Amino acid sequence: MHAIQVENVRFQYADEAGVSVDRFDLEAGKSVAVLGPSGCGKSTFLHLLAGLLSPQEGAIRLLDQDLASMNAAAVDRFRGANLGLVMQRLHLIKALTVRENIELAIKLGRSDATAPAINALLERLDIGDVAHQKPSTLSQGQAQRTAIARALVNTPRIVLADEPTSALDDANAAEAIALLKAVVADSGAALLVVTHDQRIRGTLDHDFDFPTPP
Amino acid sequence: MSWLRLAIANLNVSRLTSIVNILLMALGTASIVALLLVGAQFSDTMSRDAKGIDLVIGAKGSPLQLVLATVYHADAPTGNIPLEAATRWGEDRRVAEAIPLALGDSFRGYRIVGTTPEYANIYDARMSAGDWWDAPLEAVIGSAAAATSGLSVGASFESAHGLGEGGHEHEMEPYRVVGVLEPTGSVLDRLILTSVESVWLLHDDEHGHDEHDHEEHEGPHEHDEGDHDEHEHHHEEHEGLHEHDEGDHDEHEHDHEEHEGPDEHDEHDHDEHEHDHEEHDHEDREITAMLIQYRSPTAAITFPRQVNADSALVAAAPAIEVTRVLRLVGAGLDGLRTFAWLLIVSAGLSIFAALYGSLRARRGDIAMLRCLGATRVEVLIALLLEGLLLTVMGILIGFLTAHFAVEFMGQWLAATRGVTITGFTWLAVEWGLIGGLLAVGVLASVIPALQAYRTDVAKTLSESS
Repeated sequence: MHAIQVENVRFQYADEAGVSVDRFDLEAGKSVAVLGPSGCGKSTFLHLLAGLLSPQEGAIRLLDQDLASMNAAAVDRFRGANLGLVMQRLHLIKALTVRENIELAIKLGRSDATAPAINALLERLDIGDVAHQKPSTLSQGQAQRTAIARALVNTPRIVLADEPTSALDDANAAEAIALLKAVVADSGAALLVVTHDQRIRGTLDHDFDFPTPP
Repeated sequence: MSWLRLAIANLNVSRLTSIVNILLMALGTASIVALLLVGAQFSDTMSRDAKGIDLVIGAKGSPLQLVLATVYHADAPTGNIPLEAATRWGEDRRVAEAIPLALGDSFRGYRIVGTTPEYANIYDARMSAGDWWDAPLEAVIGSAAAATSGLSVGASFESAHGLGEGGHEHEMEPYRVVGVLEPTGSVLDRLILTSVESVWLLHDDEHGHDEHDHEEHEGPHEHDEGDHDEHEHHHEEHEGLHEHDEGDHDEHEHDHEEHEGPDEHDEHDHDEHEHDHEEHDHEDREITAMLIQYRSPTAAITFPRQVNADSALVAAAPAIEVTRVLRLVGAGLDGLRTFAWLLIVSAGLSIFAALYGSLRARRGDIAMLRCLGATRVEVLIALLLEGLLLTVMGILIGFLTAHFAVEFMGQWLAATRGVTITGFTWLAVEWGLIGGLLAVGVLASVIPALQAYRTDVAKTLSESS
C-alpha cells in the first residue's frame, strides 16, 4: 500500500521559484530522506504533502485519498488524524507544559490516545521527568523529543519531518533520526524527512534528491 | 486539553496585561451596573412612594418642594394651610379620598406625621404589632423607624420640634407607641404616624408652655404679625412651615377673615393659648397638606387648575414632579453612564491591542495548531475565546463588585438616611448589558481572530524555519 503518491505536481508562488515533481511514491512502513540544498523547494514539497498548500497541477494521494477531493476543513482533520509533523522550529506551545502540548495534539487529532499511552511515550522518549515543565525550561534535545512525541502520539500513518536535525550536533542528530525510525517502525508508519543535512543521507530506507528548479 | 484551557494558558503568558484588561473591563462594568441599580431603584422608590397620591394640596410655594416634603418626606414643607379650605377641596365630588397631613415634629430624625389610618392604606401597610390609635398622643411607627429607634408597642417617646434631628423636645407630652407597621419598602417605613389631633395638641400646649425655643422649629405654625416681635431675631433660622415674608402675608390676607386658628398668631397673645383644646373648632385648625386621590383620572384635567386658581393653595401632582426630578437625576446618571461606557470601550481597545500584539509573537503557534489538525474556524474560535475570556472575567468581577458595593451602600443609606436600596436584586436590563459587554469583547477579538483565521501556515512555517 502506498502511503504517499505524487504525480506531476506543479506549484508556483507568485514571484518565487516553485516546485515540480513528476513522480514520487512512498510505501507504508518505509522511510525516505528528501535531500536538496536550501531554497530548492523541498519544504514547499512537504507543505504540499501535508495539505498546507494546494498544487496548481497534478495529484497528491495520501493513504489512497486524493487531497484535492477534500475541502479545507476535511484536509485539516485528515492531517490531524493521519499525519505527524515535526518542524525545524519545533513550535511547542510556550504556554503549555510538555504533557499539555502532547494532549493538545490528541485533541486536535481527534485521537483516543489514553493517559497510559502518553506516559509510555514520554518514558520511551525519556522526557517523563519533564512532563510538567514548560518548553522554555527544556534542553534542545528534550524539546526535540517533545516535538517528536507530539507528532507520534496519535500513531499517525505518515510522519513528515522538516529539517529535524539541522540545529543539532552529530550525536543529537543521529539520536533524533534513530528515534524517528524506531517509533515509525513500531507503528508501521511511513517516514519522510526533508533535509539539506547530508548526515542523513543513507540513514533511511531511501534517499530522494529533490529536483532543482530550472 | 480543552480550548478553554489553551486560552487560559495563553492569557497566563502575559499575566499582567491580562489582569489590567480584566480590571479595565470590570471597572467599566461595575460603574454601569451600579448606576443602573441605583437609578432604577431610585426611580422605583420615587414612583412607589407617590403611587396612589394623585395630588397634593399645600401652601403656596414650590410644587416640587411640596411634593418632596409631603410625599417623600425629604424636604421642609412650604407652609401650612387652613384645614377648612383643604377639607372643602377634599369633599369635592371628583375626590375619592382626601388624607390630611400635619408635619412639624420628629423623633430621632424620623418624622412624626399627623394623619389618618387611610394614609397607611396608600402603601398597603399592615400592622405587625398593636393597633391604630384611639386617642391623641398615640403613635404607630414604621418598620425602619421601629427597628432603628428600638421602640415597640407600649413604649413612650418625646417628640422634638422640627423635622430633623436636634430639635428641642416636647417634654410635657410624650407619645405612646400603640402599633408597629410591617415593612412596606416605602417612605412609610421611616415615619411615625399619629392623629392630626396629636400634632395640634402638642403645638397648642407648646404655645402655652413652650414659648422659649423656636429656633429649629419647622412645625405647623405660621407666625404672622402677632408673633413678629417675639420671633423676629430667629427668622433666618426658621424653615418649613414658618412663613414670614411679605408676599405670603398678602396671599393669605383673604384667609384671615375666615380662619383665625390658634396656630396663626395674628392678634392673639400667648395667654389665649392656654385655654382648653376643645375650644378650637374645626375652622381654626391648620394642616400641612391634603393628599388627594381622584375618583376618576379625568379629574386631573380640571381639579388642580381650580385649586390653583380659586384659593391661596397650591396643587402639585406627584407624577409630574417625580418626572421632573427623574429627568434632572437622569441627566446626571446619563453623563456618568456615558463615562462608564467610555471605560468599557477603552477596555475593549485594550483587549484588542493585547490580542493583536500577541498574535505576531504567536503566529508560529497558530501555524502549529493548524499542522496538528485545527481548522481555520477552530483557530478563529480559539482567539475569540481569549478575548471573550478576558471580557467575561471583567464582566463577572464588575457585576459582583457593583452588586456588593450597592448593597453595602444601601445598608449604609438605610442606617443613616432611611433610603431603601439593595444590591441583591437583578434588573432585566442587566441581561441586555451582559449582551452588550460580550459584544464589545467579540468586537475587540474579532480582528485578531480573523488574522489568525487567515494565517498562511506554509508561509509562516517557512519564515520561521
